This record gives sequence, structure tokens and C-alpha cells, in this order.
Amino acid sequence: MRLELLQGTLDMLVLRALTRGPMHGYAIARWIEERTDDALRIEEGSLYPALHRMQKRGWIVSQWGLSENNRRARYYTLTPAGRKQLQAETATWSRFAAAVMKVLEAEPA
Amino acid sequence: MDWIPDRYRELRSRLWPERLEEDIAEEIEHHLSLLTEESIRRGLAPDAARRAALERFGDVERYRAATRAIDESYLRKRRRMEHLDAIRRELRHALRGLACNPSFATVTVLTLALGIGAVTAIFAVLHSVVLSPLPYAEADRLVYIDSHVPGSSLGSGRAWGLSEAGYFHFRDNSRAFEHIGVYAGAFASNVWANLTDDRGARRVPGMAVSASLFDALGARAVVGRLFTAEEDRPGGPDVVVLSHDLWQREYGGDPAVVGSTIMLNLEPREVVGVMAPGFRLPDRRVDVWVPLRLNPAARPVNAHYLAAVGIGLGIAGALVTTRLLRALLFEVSPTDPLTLGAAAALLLVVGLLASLDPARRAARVDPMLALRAE
Repeated sequence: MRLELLQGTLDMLVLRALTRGPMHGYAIARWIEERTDDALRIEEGSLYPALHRMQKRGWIVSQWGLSENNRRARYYTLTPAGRKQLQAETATWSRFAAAVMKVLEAEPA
Repeated sequence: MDWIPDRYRELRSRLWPERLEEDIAEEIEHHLSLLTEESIRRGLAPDAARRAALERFGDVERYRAATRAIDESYLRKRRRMEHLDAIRRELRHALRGLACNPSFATVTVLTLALGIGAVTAIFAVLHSVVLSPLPYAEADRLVYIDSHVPGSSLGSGRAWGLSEAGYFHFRDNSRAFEHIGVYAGAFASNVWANLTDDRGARRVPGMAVSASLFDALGARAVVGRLFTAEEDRPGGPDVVVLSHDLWQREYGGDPAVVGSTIMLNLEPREVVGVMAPGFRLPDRRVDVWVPLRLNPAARPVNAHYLAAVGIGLGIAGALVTTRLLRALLFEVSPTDPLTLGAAAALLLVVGLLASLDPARRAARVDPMLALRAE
């Protein structure tokens, strides 16, 4: 199943992925896929504008390194500002989801 | 290329923007190659695997372009921040330096203030008097005529305009002036007239003038004609001359407006002509010119509200007076002492500032050291 994601949500998922340590874009995509049991499959190219935008905002920093198969890859790391941003967005998302659930669970007439 | 450290790569991106593009391409290619390998592991042929990878990635070109745009704006932002930081640092350093020497700072600021203020004031006067002269033919021969009213309650010796009778007296008896023109001055009640036509009503600035004013100021009509001295009598026809600006604005420059009738303050007036562009009174813009229609039989009364303008011709008395006025107002040239004085003042200010700092430093040198250097 392939769900469409809003841009803000993608940012949040990427930040969460990076709490597990530095990753390159491919690894982030695989981690999200694995965590959601394949329910969420993002269009993987959209990661790159998102990653560079978050880097511009100072939530993550990048560094070139060597990937598993001895290739050059850009690794992204979470910054303290990024961690704070993740906390804020997670809180907002939880409140949003709870509110929607309340509506959906309302007693039918 | 693995040995290139990150800092150098950043510097490289800054100096050669194409490297930015290359780095993005490399990053994306890495992702694509990993996707391809995954597909190959699942049993696809290399070509099919590559195609599958591209499909999963999405529009490569679009994402590459978007990423590049983001990186470029990031670069610009970083450069801007660095410039601002540098400026801020320099400013703090300079201010600290000034704070350590408050007397020096005060002297500098005061000198600059005085110098700049003086030069600005001088230039402002020069500009209004010399550089932008009155827009009339033979402007250097124009004078205002006021009547001196000693002991008047509005301030002793204050000058008033001419009265109606005064104007005729001057016109008929004075040989000093070639033309005298009058217009109803600042105390006239209707400087603003209501112009009404089928498109509505609006207020326009107007002035009642004598026909001789057009002669005195060298006014010309660009369409039609200006009103004549015959029309400028009590009981004369209700005519009006439009300004060029009004003609363009309201009537689109249509020559057919001459001969038509417009309503001015609810009175019909025939348009006899349009004034040449740019013509105005020295102190105000006028959109509609109507005849003043002074009464030659008026008795001299204390309604001194006319301002008179005349051209000096040259009997000794008038000549001396006008010469004096000219000297005061118009004889400012590049070789004039006033201009030279202004230039000298500026040079003095600059020189003072330039020598202030070395003088300060020299004062601090130990006299013994200075002598020893001999």
C-alpha cells in the first residue's frame, strides 16, 4: 500500500529516523518502510529536497562518508535544534490524531 | 576522491557552483544504485532493475532541480549572514574604539555635523536661487512690488500688496516698469474653484489675473489665445484660460475644448485658450486663469491684496533698486565670494578631520623617543 504523505509529516519521519544515528537517504527510506511494515512507501526522490531543506533550517547536518558497499555517500545527523523540532512536531501530531479519533469514535445517532 | 575532507568540499561548492550540482548528482546516483542492486538481488535483469529503481525513485530531474535550488538559496543565505556578521564585528570594534576616546569622538561628530550642516544649507540656498531660476523670460528683470505700510497693525513696516487704485496709479504714472501685472493674492477668497461639467465636479486651483500679467511674465497660449486687456474690464466677457496640465488631464489634449463653455463656481465661462506647458505663478500652480477685471475708477481703499509684478526698465531710481535686488538675489556665480567661501569651508572641515587623528597620535609619542630618533 502506498499512502501519500504531507511534506511536514515526511520531515517528522526523517527526523525520527535520524535519532537512531547518522543515515544516508536510502537507509532512511528503508527504515521508514521497515517500521511501518511496508504500509508507508514514499516516493524516494522526495527525500532529497526534504533533507536539503532541513539542513538549510539547521535541523540536520550532512557529511560525506563511506557507505556499506564502499561507495561515497552523504550521511545526515540530527542537531539539537532538530531534536527539539522533532519533539514539538510529535506532540502536535499526537494531539491532532487524538482529536480526529475522538470525532471518529463518537457515538452514532 | 574519498580523501577530500568535508571543509574543502564546502569551499569547493562555494567557489565552483557546478560542484554543487555534481555532489547532488552523486548523492542521488548512490541511492539509485542501491535500489538497483536490491532489485537485482530479487532476480531482475540489470536493465529491468535500473528501470524499477527509477520508477521507485520518482522524477529524478525534478528532484535534482529542486534540491539544487534549495542548496543555492542556502549558499546565498550563508553568504549574507557572513557579510552581516563581518559588518557587525567591524561596527562593534569601531564603537568600542570611539567609546575609549569620548573627547575625540565628540569633536569628530561635532565637526562633521557642523560641516555637513553648513554645506547643506549653503547648497539649498544656491539651488533655489541660482540653479533653479524662475521659469519666465527675462527672469532677472522681474520684481515684486509691495506697498510699504508703516505703522500698520500687522507688524510695523510690513509690506502689503497693491490696492486696485494703486495698481492703476503705478501703471499710468510710473515710467520705471515696462509691464505691470497683478493677480489676486493670498487673501483672495477663491483660490480653489469648482469646475463642473458633464463628468462631475472637482476643485481646481485658479487665479484671477490682469491681462498685463501675461505680458509681464511672457506667457503664451499653445492653443487659442490668452485674454486681452479689453476683456479685462468690469463687465467684460466671462472667459477662462486653461492650464496645459489641466487640458491634458481632463480633456485629453483635445483642441476642440477652445470655444466650449465650462462651469466655474457655477458660472459659465468660455474657454478662449490653453496656456503653454509649465507656466505657473512663482509660488503656486494654477489650473484656470480668469480675468481680474479691476475697476480703474476704484477709490484708493485699504484692501491691499493685489501682488504686482513688473519689469524694470531703467530710470535711475528704479534702476538702482532693481540692481540692488538683483545683487541680493541673483548675482551668485562660481567666482562669487559666497561660493568660494562654501568651498573653503568644506575643505577646512575635511582637512581638520584628516589631521585630527595624526595629531592625536603625535601628542601621545614620548618626547624622549621622538628626540632619540634624530
